Amino acid sequence: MAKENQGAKAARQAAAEARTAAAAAEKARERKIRIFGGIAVVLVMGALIAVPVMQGKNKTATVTNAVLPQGVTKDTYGVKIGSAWTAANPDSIPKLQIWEDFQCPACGQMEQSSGAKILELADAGKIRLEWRPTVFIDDKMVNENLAAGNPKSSRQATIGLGCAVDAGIAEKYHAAVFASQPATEGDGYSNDALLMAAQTAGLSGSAYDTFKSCFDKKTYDGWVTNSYNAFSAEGVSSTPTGILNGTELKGDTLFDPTALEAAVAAATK
Amino acid sequence: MTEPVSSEVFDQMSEPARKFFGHPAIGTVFRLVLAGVLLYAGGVKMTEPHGARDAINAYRLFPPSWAPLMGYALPALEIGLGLLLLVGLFVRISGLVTAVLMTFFVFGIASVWARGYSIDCGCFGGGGDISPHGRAVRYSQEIARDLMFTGMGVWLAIWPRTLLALEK
Repeated sequence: MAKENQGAKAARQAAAEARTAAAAAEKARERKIRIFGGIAVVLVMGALIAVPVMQGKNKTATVTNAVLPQGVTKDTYGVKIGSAWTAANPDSIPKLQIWEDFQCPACGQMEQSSGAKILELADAGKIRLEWRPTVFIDDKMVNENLAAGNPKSSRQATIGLGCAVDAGIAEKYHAAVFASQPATEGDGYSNDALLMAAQTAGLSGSAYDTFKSCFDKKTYDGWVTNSYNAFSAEGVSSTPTGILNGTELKGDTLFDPTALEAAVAAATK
Repeated sequence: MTEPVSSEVFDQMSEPARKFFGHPAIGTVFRLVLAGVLLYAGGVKMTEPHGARDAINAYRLFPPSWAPLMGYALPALEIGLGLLLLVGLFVRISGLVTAVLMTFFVFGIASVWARGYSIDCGCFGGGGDISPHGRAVRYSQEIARDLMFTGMGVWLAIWPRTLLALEK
């Protein structure tokens, strides 16, 4: 009896020890998984930050020897439109800077609703209009642009804008490109469509040949890069953005010609 | 780590409710859904060099100089959290961090909405300003979605025990 009891007790004890040992082993296993798993995830995250940071450094380098279109200066890389820039007292006239990407659908809508009014104000000398081009949609729509056969569409359209500035048809080229904006974001502009915009803007003969040569050679590629860098550096970074005398226009002002004109009037001293 | 939460609210719940809340199968679904969402969101942001930073700038909540670092760190954080949730490691803390992250997104969207900007939330890449049309609907959908994800994260922070997980 006693012996049997002792035997059962020993068996129970052994079982309990085995359970404890198994639990300890399980705990050790889980600790190992946690440590290795944690380290692995931290390494992945570190690599994900380090790799693009190193690549990004090369990508955002300023092109130091960039050729600039006529009248464009290094302080903003913007295209200045209208007579107000050369008025007797330009500082008294409100400065309206507009960040745009030729592929941005909202910019297309803005051009449709307010484009004419903005040019009217600029041509009448009521604002100092400055277009500030950016090409972030080239990065956003890489695959879509490629699939449509129009890679880096915004960049090529903006290079064309630089050539159009030299040809003296910046306003018309700008309007013609936006008028031909594809309905689907990402389809982009074919080179033919952009050259057609220059013709729509009134270029022909030798003036057109000069434009086409400038366009094909991507003369203003470096300018576009620098303007795009300014876009990220200034933190505006979304389009369209209107900046009136240094203050960002709120909400829908840019889309509403009446509200925009009122804002300009209010900013005129 | 995995003891059931006992609170008066919990004690007063009906039997079916008590069986529902904290059920490992439900937690498993939440864990995998959040893992998928985070990995997708982080992966898409990763493929756009300027994308995430421009989206962050569009919120106009941080100084522009912060955007590049945040643009790299945010997708990395999302992917890290996504991986942890996918394999089921550090589920409690991952769920908590995910819930906090989603709450930030809700505040971000609510704040641009209140200030009258029209932006693409950049939640799944893209981002930047868009046209103002229909933004109330879009913003409220985005907020509802992120609140749902917040709820899933909170669930996992309270009941981290799930199936198909590396940690028991």
